[in-house]
Amino acid sequence: LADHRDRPITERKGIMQNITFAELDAQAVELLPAKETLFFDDNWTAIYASNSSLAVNAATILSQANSAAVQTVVVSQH
Amino acid sequence: MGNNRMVAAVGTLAVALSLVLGTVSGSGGTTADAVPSRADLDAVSAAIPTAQLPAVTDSDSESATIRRAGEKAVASAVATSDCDGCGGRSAVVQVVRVSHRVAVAADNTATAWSSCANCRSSAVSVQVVIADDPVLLTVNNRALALNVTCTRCTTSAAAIQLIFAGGNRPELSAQARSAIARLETELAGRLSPSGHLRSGQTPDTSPQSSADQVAAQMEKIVAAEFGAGAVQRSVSVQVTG
Repeated sequence: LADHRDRPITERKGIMQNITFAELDAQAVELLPAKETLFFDDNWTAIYASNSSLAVNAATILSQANSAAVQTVVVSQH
Repeated sequence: MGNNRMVAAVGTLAVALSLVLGTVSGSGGTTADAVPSRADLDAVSAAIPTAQLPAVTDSDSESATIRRAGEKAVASAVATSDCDGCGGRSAVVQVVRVSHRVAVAADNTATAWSSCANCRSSAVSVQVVIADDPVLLTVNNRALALNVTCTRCTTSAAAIQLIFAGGNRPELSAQARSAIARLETELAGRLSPSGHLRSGQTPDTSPQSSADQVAAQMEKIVAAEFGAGAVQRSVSVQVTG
């Protein structure tokens, strides 16, 4: 049986060339990463931000209304 | 006269609040009514002076962590003065951590309202949101200053919201939190100095520039701990008087 496995397949079948069972046994299979990760890093964040400021004087005398809304958005993706 | 004044005040306030609240609820979509409520996600401060207690200062400083999808953190500072010669000062600092990859929301509001003579109201609300890797982050920032049937009133509202998303950032250090709280107190002091304005007098410092400067300093403090990223800054200022 061992001698049979060491002979090239072509000698027995005449289809494939230069491959023995020993070489075939030595082949390893490894799964590739998902197709999209080869091209796109699936790393995202969605941010919806709203910012508003309103100051109102209604029926006033010598009065002051001040409003300030400050919004800072920092996004880091790796 | 008193009833008419009250009716006018309530009517104007209702219109203004409906504008602000309508904008908040209409934007984003994740600030839905079905969001589960958690008391530790709310940081609230309210200063409401009365004739018996004409000067009121209230402040709150909270830290919270969001772990579940759909939760919302709220920081809210409210100051209202409706008695002659009264003064109310309200301040809030909230630091929110979003530790999981979930969709969450954060609202920050500062509301100051005066309806009296020789009175002043100021509200400052600061919210820092640190999200490691959120799926969806909906943030709203509102400042409302309202004078209704007022004589020689000064009303100021400042809302500062800092959002840092992505990048597995570390917790804010105690020094950074302390520095932010100190800046917030400083801003509240600038917006509501002691004493009242005399006829024709204006505040020494521009409230809007003060808020902008303080926000820039806060931003620098937090960014120094986290490192730089893409920065988008939105400033909205309104002054009437």
